[in-house]
Amino acid sequence: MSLYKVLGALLLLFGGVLCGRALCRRAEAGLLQTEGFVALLKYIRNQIDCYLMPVDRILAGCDPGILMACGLVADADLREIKSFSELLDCCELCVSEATAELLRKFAGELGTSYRDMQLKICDYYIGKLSAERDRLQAELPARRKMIMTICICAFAGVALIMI
Amino acid sequence: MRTVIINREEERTIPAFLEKMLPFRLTDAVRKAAEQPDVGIIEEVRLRRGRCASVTTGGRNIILDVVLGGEEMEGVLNRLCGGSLYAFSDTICRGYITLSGGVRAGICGRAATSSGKIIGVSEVSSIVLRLPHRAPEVGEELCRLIKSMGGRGVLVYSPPGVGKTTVLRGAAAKLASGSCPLRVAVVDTRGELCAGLDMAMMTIDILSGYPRGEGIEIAARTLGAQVIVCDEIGDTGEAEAIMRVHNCGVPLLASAHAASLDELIKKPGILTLHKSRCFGAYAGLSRVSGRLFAYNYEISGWEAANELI
Repeated sequence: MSLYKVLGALLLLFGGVLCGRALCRRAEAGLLQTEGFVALLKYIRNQIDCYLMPVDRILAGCDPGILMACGLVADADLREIKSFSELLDCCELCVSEATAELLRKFAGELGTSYRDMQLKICDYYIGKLSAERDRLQAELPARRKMIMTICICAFAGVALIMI
Repeated sequence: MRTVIINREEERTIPAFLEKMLPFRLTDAVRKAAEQPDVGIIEEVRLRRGRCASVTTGGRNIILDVVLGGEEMEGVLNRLCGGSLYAFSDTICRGYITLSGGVRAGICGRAATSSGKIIGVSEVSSIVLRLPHRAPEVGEELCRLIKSMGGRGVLVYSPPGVGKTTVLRGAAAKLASGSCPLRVAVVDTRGELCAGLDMAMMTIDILSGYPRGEGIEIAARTLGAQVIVCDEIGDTGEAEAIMRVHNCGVPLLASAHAASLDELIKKPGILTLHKSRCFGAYAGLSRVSGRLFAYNYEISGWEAANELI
């Protein structure tokens, strides 16, 4: 087997490893972003419970670290964001479709009811998102192994075919 | 009876920030109604679920050919609350929302109650938008009156919608400005009294959203007010707070709903205050027929009111 073929196979394997790591990072980012939204919803709930703060002021006063964890783009102007829906539009979401749907539903229900019902709504969605986060966390090690295995095997397979 | 006439302000229709919250066909109908030659300044806009909306101008009600559905009403309420209904649940249960610029929205609908207390309002059936108006020349009479009272207050009375809040606002502005301003504390429970006031050169302290009783006591004891201005008193609990403040020597300029002095003095809270001599004069307010910001004051002293008891 020529030296070039060996080098090519090694490059393909390396590419497989890189691809796998990229996909693993994306899965981890999805988990981190879900955690960010859980923290944000808890913050919103506390502000409603303690101060009955309107949504736009809650978002304006939120810790920038929490918003960045939710995927808020760097050049977003918080002064222009008046609702949770607008916040979602300014985020680069990498969460699962189920989580994204939960967030959209929460955006539709935030601010539409009185205090007690609003707190119950917040608790409901915090519970749902926390369950989703816990599921992702539990599955992450297995997903990492699966992603790396598939990627390396796929690229190894290509390398073998080419060799 | 003294008549006070001032120039009419050029505020004929809905403020721009409020227009954005209302359906276009409603604001269009209001604009067209305001353009009619015999229509003055729009004082109120009334939205009704499933029924025609209307505007009020110069005490006259004009019905608009606009009917809003349930979803539109809910949408208007949501926008009035800035997308945060829970933040206004306390005031909605008391029947109003105060917006920026001193606009007060009266709210009514289907009340949910618990132990006789309103805990929520659903299926909003009417929204009444009261638009404040700047009338800087109003209130001169009240200023002269309260300065002549020697530490006793003045109570302005009239039926709803005549202009008590407008004259109190004008009086508060006049008392707190000029060459010898007084320290004026305004207990602005509903956020209407100080709307539109240019307060940069006024010695005025505002207690916004405070319950009247607590606000009056704080104004007297901790803010060192020389005059306290307050709208719509009458509650027995408020009467006790006012009496405590009266003992501190701080005069109160206030208003109450009543069509006549006889009706006013027989309200339990007002009667208590009258017997304590909190008020030295009662000013009955009425509008000069067909003219906005033109008022008649029917001034009655303490003795004249006492004869009615």
